Amino acid sequence: MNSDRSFFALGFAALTAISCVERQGPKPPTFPSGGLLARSVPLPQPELLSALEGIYDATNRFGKFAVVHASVQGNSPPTSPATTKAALAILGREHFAFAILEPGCFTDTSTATTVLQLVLEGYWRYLDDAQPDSSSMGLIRLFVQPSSVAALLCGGVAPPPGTVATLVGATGQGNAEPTAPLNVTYVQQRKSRLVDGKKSFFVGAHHGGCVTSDDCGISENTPETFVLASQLGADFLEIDVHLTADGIPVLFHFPDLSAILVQGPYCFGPIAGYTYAQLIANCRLKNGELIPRLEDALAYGLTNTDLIVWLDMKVANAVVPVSQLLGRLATRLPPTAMVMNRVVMGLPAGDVVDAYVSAKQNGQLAQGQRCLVEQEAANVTSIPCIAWGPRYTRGPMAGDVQNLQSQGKFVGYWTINDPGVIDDFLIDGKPNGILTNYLGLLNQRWEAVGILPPYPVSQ
Amino acid sequence: MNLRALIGAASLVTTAAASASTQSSSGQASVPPDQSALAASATDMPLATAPSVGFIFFPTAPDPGQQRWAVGGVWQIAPMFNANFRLGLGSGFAFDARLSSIFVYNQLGAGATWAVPVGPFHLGLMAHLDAWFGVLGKAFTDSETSGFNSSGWGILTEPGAMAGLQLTKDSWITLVAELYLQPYQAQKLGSLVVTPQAPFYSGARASLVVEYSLGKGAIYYGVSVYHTTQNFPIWFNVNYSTQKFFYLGLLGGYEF
Repeated sequence: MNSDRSFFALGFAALTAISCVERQGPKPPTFPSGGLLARSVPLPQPELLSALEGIYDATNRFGKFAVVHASVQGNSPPTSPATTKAALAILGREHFAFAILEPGCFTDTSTATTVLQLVLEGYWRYLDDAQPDSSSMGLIRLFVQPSSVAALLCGGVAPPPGTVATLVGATGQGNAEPTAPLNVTYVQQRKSRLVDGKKSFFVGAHHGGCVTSDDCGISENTPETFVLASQLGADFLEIDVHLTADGIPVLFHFPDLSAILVQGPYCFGPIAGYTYAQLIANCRLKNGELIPRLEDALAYGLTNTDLIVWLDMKVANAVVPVSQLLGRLATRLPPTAMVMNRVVMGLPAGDVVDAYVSAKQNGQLAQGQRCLVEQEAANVTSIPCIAWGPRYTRGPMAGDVQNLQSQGKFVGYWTINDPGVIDDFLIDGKPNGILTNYLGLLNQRWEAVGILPPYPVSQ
Repeated sequence: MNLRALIGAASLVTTAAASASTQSSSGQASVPPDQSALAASATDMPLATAPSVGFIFFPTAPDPGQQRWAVGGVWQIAPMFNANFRLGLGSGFAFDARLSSIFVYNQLGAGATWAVPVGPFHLGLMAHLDAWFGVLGKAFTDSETSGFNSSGWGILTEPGAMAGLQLTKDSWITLVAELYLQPYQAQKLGSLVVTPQAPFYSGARASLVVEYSLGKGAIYYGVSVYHTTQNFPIWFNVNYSTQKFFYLGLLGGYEF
């Protein structure tokens, strides 16, 4: 019967659509014609934007206890020309909300008196909606008030300590012009992360600032995620390392070219079965990027952000080539990149630990190579490594954590994304860090309930 | 080939294979292997009523006091053993009990179904309440290398609806839709017990199941489309997310 055939055709089409659809995430919205930033000039001293950091009441979009975080990305001198840019993020708990804004200074002649304005423009996002639409993503435009603070920052002068600013403006839905009023009012200072003068709590980005499945417009494990993670308040970044058939370390999470992360009709099977040339010929990540070489990602990330990098070594045979690559990068990149200080080799499994120990004994590791153990706490002192990164599913293990912290080691759990569980581990474990997919959320929860560990991180 | 003939043919192919090995004494099990003829003739056969013991999926209750058992499996993320029991209560009502296990996740539940014939269709409603428990890591392996020292437990409620249609003399097809609501869940991570602050919706499942009568017994097989959170029912999944995913499952088994 025709109706039966129609039924089957519809069912088959539905199943096909469900199983074959490729998810290409929407890009974050941008202002038409570049918005007010298009007729603004950048801050002369981007780092001065940190004067606006604090805890703010941003009710209606980011909640009563939102974190305002400033960051700077880009090359600084001696690289020339300098390309540093500042960003301001607003980070909330509800809906895992965040906004990323860029500053610009312009002379406002629209009123009777000419005023120097510091405008912040960008986009906001509710990260608990993994397939964002206009109800969970939109444009945001804020102005720094009072105008005296804006004038100081636009003049390259740091406001006096204790200066309080308010961010006044609006948010919009999707690509629409922002019209919903938003007042972001200062509440209090951010909490110190120092123990005995040493930074001892660190926010960690899992696979980058935003995992591919959360549709932030860029794919996880890419150089671009360094910038996003830095903007969202990360202190360190965990990225995954595999080896191609011709021995090139690349960033990718799974051993196979999973359709969750890549696209391309000839892009499937084990990543170790492809040479790097074959990989870039056949595969693109979900948002169109190439699968990056570790070398390129580190060269970009270490010179454009100040993030610490945790390399999750997915295969044991990558230990030696990656360590030697780090040694080469240490001589190639500017000293400010501090390659051997900022890149830590994560050892997730017994075979990788064995490969690392063997390479160390045979003198195959680059000088100054540092490591992080994910499994047995005892290995942190026996190898030795500088850090322990246990999976949170083993519980807080407060005794083991404190024991290692008393030796100056870093302890950070992976990977916690649930706000309630984040709170429990911050309070019960007093770790030096947590790895998460939701950087804004973790920053907000740290400010709300975080407790500093009893000992400083010494290395 | 119409819908009934197509599924009837598939049922008969499966049955012929099953009957060859089980030497079933049922009349249906001794059908000749000429599948195209069987499929064609299936549409012409007079439709019999469902057995008095009913089925596990098709929305018709066993006669009062009659019961039906079934064992089988579901393959979604991993293979899971299933056992079902249904007892007729009269007036279209039946008592249901069911067990599912993949070792690290074990679920036992009970509930009720109510079914009514509407024209050529049979429609039904159901509600189940399940308790589940799972353990992973230190309990049966070295937690240092597994990365887990976790156990989980909770309550799952599964309201749903069914629509069934007899396809051939011996085969019945049922569309089952179920929701997964978790009023309570807990995980013990090492020494720390964490629970969500509020009940939550874990997702839904729609299944298309064919039940083929072998006389006294019956086989069932089908396909499910799931739309659930990433960590359902794998409670220990580390990448907790509220995002829901589509994926497919297969199910099959034998009804006694």
